[in-house]
Amino acid sequence: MSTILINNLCKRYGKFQAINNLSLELDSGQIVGLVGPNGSGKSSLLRIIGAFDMAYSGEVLINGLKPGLESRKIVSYLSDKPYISDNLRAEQIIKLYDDFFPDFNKDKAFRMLDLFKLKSEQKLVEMSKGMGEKVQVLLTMSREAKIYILDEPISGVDPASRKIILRSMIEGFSEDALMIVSTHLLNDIENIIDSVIFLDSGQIKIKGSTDDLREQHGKGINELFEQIFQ
Amino acid sequence: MFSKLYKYQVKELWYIARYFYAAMIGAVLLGLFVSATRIPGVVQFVNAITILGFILSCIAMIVFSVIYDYQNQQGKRSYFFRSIPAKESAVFSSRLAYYFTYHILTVLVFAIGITIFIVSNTAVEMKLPFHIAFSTVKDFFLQPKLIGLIFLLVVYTGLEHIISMMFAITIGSQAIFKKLGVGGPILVYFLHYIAMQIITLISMLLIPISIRLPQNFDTDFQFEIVFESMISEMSKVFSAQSNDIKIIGIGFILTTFVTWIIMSIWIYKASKNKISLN
Amino acid sequence: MSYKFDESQPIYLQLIEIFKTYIANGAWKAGEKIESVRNLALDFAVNPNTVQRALVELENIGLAYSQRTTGRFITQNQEKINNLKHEMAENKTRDFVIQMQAIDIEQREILDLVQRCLDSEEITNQQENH
Repeated sequence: MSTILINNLCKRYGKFQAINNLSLELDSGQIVGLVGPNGSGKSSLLRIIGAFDMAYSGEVLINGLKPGLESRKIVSYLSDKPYISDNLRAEQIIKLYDDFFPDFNKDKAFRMLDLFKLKSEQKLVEMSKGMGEKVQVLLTMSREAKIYILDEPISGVDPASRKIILRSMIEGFSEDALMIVSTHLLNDIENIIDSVIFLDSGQIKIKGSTDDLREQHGKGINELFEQIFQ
Repeated sequence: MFSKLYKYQVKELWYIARYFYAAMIGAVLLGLFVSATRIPGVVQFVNAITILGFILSCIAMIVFSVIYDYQNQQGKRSYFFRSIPAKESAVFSSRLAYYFTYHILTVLVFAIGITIFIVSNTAVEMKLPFHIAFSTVKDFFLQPKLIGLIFLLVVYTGLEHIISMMFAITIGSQAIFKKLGVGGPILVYFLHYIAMQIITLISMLLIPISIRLPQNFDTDFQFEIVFESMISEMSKVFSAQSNDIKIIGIGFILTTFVTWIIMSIWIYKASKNKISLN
Repeated sequence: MSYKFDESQPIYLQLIEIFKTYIANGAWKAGEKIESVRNLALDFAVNPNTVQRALVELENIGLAYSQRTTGRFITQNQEKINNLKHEMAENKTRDFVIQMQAIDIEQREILDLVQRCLDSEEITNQQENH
């Protein structure tokens, strides 16, 4: 059974066709990069996979389940506009997650807090944008989920933090999980993804293993991306 | 999971609610303090301002309780809130309990505050010592029947307010209203409001359960439930069998209950199967 | 450690070359246990599956072997390691010679250049630093 199976998925907002007859099959044990220009349907697709948008047509199966409460339990999701609470300290948020999510690994969260050099007694409202994103990433990665979805996890942070976040993604990734990372900063993630999906106007333009694509086209994934989307 | 969700929602609003409640209590105390000076003009002026502040804080509390629920359901906290592996029934009941907590709390603070305003106003206007003014007002309000009636009204209006807010937020956030943003819930609220008014009016007129009003309010304070509809009473007036409408239809209570149940099921199903976050 | 990869080549092929160098220069000693896939992935900031693929390739050419319970080790066969060294040296020399020929340098001049290079202080110093 595929971890994610999508057949003829369509999603429209009024007249705008965000996803256009998209089919996709993804198995566990890999990190997938989802890239494409703004408005290409990345976030729309991820929202549907995460069962945060149920208004679509076509077939979607997450670990064999239709997106809903049950499928959401195995998905750890970092949205592109994450927000929990300004008023809580980092340690309180970790405790909150530990309370709410049975698959949450508190030790891992505190370890990553150290790795990110964040103070557990600092409130989110006092943190910079980059620090806030790190907290969000560590919360997402500290769940022992089957599917991790990270929508633009590194867009708002400085290059040094980006490196640490990417490191934590490698560290947090387990072999029986599937991780999907959407970004427009392909350069930073191209070495850590197994395969890449180029999305354009709600359709898959190219999909394949990054090493195969490098071999086939004799150029880097980022270069290939720039060439296709010029 | 219910209690965790409930605690989370109550705590989250409490971060700002405490300031509003503090402001309300502060306004009451300020009013009381200034009234105690009994300086003509100043008392009336300060009281007018503090009462205004008090009422505005009350309204703000209600508004913020709705905004915070919207943030959890559809707004900035929605991805977190929606990720929580809780059954829809737990989400629904914790929202209901959260709204009810702040509704009751706000009404309570409001009732106590307004009572103190009335007491101090009575004391100043009638030049009475404060404790005498207080016992006069207390004797008027502390009738078991009146308290019971007020309690019922608070619960009734509370439920009506809460269910319609939840309905507006959940239904107004469905994919078809998404383009409107926050306008979706507002539109749904007004549509629902108009529909409720029509239903209430029709059931008041047509359903044959009514309360017969006493002939003379001064001598006789008895209300009697009769199985007649207002429309039939009206036709009697038209055919000159009677010269006054002396009953008020209460059938709307029944239909309101039914609509609450229908709306609750609707909210439950929509937030289970029709989520569409931004 | 941060490593700069050539983005136009498959990463796993570049990893194999790096690992071979490690084995050839003794950074990874014969019979020694190889770091875990995850740690190597973190060191090189690459995908763990890519590291895995490179290590499997290393096994296929006999430079490493797996033990089911204890992990993955460098081969104990010194002859294989010597062969690897020679093969790498030959390849690099061939590349060098091809490059020299491409800019029309004669055989004697190439040998001369190599000798002079070996004699120069720069190279000697570099070797001492190693």
